[in-house]
Amino acid sequence: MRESDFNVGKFFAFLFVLILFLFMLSPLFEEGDGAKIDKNLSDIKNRVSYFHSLKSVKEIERILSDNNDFSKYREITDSAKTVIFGESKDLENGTANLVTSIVLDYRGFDTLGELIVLFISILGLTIILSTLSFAKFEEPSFLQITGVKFVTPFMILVGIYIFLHGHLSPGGGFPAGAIIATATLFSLIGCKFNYRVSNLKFIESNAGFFVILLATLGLYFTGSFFGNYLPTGIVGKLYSSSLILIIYSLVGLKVGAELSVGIKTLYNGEKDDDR
Amino acid sequence: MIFWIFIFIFILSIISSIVSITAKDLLYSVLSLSLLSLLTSILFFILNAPDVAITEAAVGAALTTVIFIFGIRRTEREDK
Amino acid sequence: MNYNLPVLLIAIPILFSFLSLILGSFNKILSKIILISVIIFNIISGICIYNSVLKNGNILTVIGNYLPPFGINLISTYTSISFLILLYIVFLVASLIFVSKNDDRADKISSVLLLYLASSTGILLTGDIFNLFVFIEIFSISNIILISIKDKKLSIKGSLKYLIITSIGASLYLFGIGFLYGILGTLNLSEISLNFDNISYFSKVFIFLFFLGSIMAELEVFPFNFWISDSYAGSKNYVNILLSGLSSIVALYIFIRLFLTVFGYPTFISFSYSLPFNVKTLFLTIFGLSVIVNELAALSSKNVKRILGFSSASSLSLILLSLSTGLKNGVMAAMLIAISVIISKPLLFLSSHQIMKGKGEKNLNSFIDGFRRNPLFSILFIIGVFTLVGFPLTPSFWGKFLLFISATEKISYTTLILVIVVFSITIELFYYFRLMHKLFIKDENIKVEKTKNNFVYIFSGILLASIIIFFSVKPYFTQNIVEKTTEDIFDKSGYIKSCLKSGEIDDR
Repeated sequence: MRESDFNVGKFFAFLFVLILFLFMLSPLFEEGDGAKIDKNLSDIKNRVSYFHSLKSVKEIERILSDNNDFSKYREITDSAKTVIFGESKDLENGTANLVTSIVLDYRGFDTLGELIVLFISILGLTIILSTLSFAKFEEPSFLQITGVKFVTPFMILVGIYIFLHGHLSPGGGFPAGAIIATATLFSLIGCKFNYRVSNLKFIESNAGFFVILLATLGLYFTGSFFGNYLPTGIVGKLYSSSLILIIYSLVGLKVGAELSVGIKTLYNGEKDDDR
Repeated sequence: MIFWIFIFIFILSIISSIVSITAKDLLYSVLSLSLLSLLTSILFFILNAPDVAITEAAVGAALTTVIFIFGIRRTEREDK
Repeated sequence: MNYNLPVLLIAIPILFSFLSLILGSFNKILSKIILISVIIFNIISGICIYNSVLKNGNILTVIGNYLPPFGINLISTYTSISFLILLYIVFLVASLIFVSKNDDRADKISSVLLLYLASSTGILLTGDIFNLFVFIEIFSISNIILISIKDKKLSIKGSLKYLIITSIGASLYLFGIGFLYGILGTLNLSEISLNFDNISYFSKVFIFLFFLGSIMAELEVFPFNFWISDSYAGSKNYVNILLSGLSSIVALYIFIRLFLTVFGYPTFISFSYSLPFNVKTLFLTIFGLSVIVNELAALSSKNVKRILGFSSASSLSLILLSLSTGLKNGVMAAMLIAISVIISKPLLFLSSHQIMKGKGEKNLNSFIDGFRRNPLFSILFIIGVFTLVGFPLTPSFWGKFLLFISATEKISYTTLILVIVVFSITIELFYYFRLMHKLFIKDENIKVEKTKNNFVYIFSGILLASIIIFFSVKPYFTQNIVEKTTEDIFDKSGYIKSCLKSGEIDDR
């Protein structure tokens, strides 16, 4: 008998899952409210942001220095002004796309984490696959070569457009990087365009380095990591919300380079390259 | 009208997911998986989430399919 | 002290992991230097934060210039920061061993190790439930990579098993977050723990079970422990140290934060849950079963690394068992056992590796005549075993003693706990003493050569052993730390107040 075959364990695992499943089903057979929100929570004030109407660190420091009374600031004041495209200036983060302002400003730290998830998985791919050798693909036909040469520049153009307009229209760095990587895949299969993995890695790690550097500069200017310190400009213009524009461009470059490295490594290993 | 499009996409996506599970040939299974994510991206678009739709179309339909196909090339095409 | 120092503990390793790839392409030694210097920076600033927390209480670090609950925040409590310093010491030992070896892929692996450091720091410090998920993801991916770098079939198999189990766990966790966000509309841990009592019966059970199922995979708890056998045996030495020492700290902290601070309700001496079913009985059953199964698996295996792996899983389950009694004594016992396990497990892996050096198979029989071959590491191994098993005067002894005391208080399932603890201690004694006996068997026919120990191994072994001895010789110091940690775990309202500065909490 081998040691790794632990069949009793499988049996108990099944039993355990069954017990958990029964636990999950148990509320169905008892009287209760079901999956409803409680009365106290149906009022939006009792959910988030009841305790805070202050959002900025500097603002709270000012109030703390004046007096320690927070009770005045309890209520959610309707401070939202009407926003007009092309006219409103110096808004909170100046993006026209709401999703982008959440992804890169309110929860920028999470996006940084997701960036690192992608980075580390491609790194793991190159670490594991670097010792293997690969069989070659067959030669591309004439039709493939012509089609790819026609399509690829447009795909790269679309990718660049999407990450440059991440703060104005849907999209952003991640899908733009995926589109750029698809373009490089086409050029790899179609016309044997043999790009070097080491150059792409250089772009990738430099882009990641600058993203973190820009985020860390926030410590100096605003007093908190990932704070927005560049002028936000006029809503709806291309050169608005400068920090988000710069970070999204870097993210697009980084994701594109990363996924291209992954595809190249899966295509013919790292062996063609020196390192 | 939009309701019937919804129902059509739902049925199509369920069929493609069943095909991707049951297909003996792994290539067919991967292709139907890619069809599934394309349909999901249309659903996201109808539900007013264009950001998610673009990402799903670019990543789910294009890139993961390619990675799966590279994986199938390294191993065997038939499921046992 | 600057209140933004905790975020640098995460940002600096990430920054230098990119830099390590850039500079490592010129020279591999540069990336090794970067790795060690970043760890030293983290240790020094960790001690600074520790002192500050000791003086001023919990530190809130705001990220993105949005105060909680709008943005993401980090909270450094006494528990998290003292766990963090322990973690850095274990990490320093593992990375010193990594640096002492030659590897072609040193730049990439040191970059992975730096991200590992950043993610485990992030798990311990974060105050946001989705941010916790992101860091858990990075942590598990780096674990997968580190397990698989030995390039053997066994290691690839182990990492695949780990990949499957953690991805199931991560998806369950994501479902749980989705439910929670849909109902409460917030991702902030303090805000969730403030409002968790108000949501309805059905959703409470659902959310609780989703999180329980997801954390199980990370905790090496019994139904999900099948990945241990391959991933410990198939991975390198420093990876074993990281898996046994670091993963258990991180998993323990996630358990404490989620199931005691957020879902639990601390009263003066015990935790209670406002859930429809008896949570404590569920926990005690799962963890008790897990202790027994892991001990039996350790007893039945022949491979030394496998024995140590299963034994570390069983001691982690013992810690969780004593935590989930919910009593103050039980939590103190858990902290005492945790200190001894976290330091002695790396020591055991290190010394067993040095004792078995040069032997082809890493079986029980490769321990024969170990004392004459390598006397220093045999003594260190014996110190480690005594600490783990609970030899009198070590922290583990006091922990098990307190567990007995808490078991004899007024609870209905006292006898169950007693039986489990006695059972686990006897089995552990059996297989460790079998190993120690093998060390002193003399084979007169064969001439023994003394193995040469690398300087790094000697340094790190003696460092770990002296930390253990310090903790056991100075019981009042240990008691002070443990009592403060326990107080901090029970201080839920303090945690919430330090995050939402103006929130009102009704203490029960």
